[in-house]
Amino acid sequence: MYGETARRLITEMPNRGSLDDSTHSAKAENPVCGDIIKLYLRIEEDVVRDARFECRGCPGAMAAAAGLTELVKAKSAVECRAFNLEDLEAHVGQLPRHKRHGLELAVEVLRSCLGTGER
Amino acid sequence: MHPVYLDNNATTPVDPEVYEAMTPFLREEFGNASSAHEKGQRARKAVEEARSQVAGLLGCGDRELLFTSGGTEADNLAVWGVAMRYRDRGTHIVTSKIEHPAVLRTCEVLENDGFQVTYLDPGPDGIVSPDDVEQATREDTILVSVMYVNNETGTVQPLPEIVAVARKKGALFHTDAVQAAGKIPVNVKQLGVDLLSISAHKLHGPKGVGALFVKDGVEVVPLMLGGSHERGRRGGTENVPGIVGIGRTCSIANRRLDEFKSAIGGLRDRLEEGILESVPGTHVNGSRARRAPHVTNISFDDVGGETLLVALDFQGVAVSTGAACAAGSISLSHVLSAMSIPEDRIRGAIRFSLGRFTIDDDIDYVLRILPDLVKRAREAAPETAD
Repeated sequence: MYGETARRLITEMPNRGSLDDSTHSAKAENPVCGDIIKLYLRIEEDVVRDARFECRGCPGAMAAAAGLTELVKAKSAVECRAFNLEDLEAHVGQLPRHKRHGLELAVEVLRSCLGTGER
Repeated sequence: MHPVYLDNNATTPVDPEVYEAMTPFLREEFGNASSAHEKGQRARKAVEEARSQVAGLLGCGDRELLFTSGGTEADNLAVWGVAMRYRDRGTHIVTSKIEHPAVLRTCEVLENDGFQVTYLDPGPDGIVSPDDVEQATREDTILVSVMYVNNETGTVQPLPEIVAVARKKGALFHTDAVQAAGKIPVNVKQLGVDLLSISAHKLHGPKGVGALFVKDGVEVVPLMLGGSHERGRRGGTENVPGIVGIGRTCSIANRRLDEFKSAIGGLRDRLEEGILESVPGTHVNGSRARRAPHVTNISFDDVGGETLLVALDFQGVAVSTGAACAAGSISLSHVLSAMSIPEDRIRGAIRFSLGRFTIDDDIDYVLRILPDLVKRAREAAPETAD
């Protein structure tokens, strides 16, 4: 079952769409099921001022991607680099067991994004 | 929130009239229909009345019907039972790729037992061509099994034509009519079939009971071994409440067949046209001309069907999808795949299936909330996969 937060994230899809003035962006893909998450961050003075996502995939990936953008907003890049699966899971809340792979994809895209450097 | 159930091809709520008819047989009339005493004989009478009611819907003789535990057992018994009984005449079976797993899995098991099975592709409209059936049917073909109404798209197969070509080659013909019975006219004589499966729970009856029509003169080797129940074709004490339930279910469906077509077909058309008009980038899967009145299968461009399903579910609307992702692996509808529908469209496919209790308000509600949900999902979709 989906928890209340996951339900909200899937229904409202907050922070959806690309970010024209992003400073960092990355894409992660699950080659088996085809889920794709793109993450866009605008980081200024080492703080995430804005975060957006695009997602093609299952509801678990959608909840994870939207939840990730909420999690990183207004956080420092250092804090964001330290986020792990458990942090994201704690924010997104309950997902069906077979949908948890979306969380892993979201953490992967965050790490990739912060590793890309300013463009 | 307005709860809307548009997944009636998965299962249906039990009609209160059916429930009322069944209840005494779960309580005071608990007799075994094989018992000689009066309680048993009252149960026997109820079973035989139910048989007549089912026969009335299908246009067959009472003795040509046997009760099963559902559509799956009926399909299993038809395909396996015929294969075992007539394997001395031939070991070839023809079926289609859009059959229910109850038929497909049975065919796979038979392949491991020395049978050869030809699985026919439908056209892009979901229709199996009688010409293809004719070409595939050989001298040693003992059975052709093609479903009447597809559960995912609602497409209606041209059965009389397909039956005729099978018959010409001397093969028996079985159809899975689980999604046809009570939705469109199903008359075994007009269709010319030898075996036909139905299930109660797809038709506002109880789960756990179905029926198989076996034409007089056709034999099946039983799957269930035990007593001489069902004229030796299915051992096991009869599920009297369930059988009473399927009987009443078929009797109601027969009475309301015309109404189902006009009322439910009208609601389906309004839903479908409303979606096509209000949501750009939508496509109906399967033939719209040859279709049962209660189903529409629609693909939404650039939307994950499963995400849309879950978003609809959170708004109180139950539907089903053409693709499911579980633990990182994707499972695409075998029906839509066989119709050569591109993978992206299969991923964005939603099946809306209506039932006798679907009302105008249900359609209004879906048409009101769906466009925004699709818009939101598209805003979240990457413009390109790169």
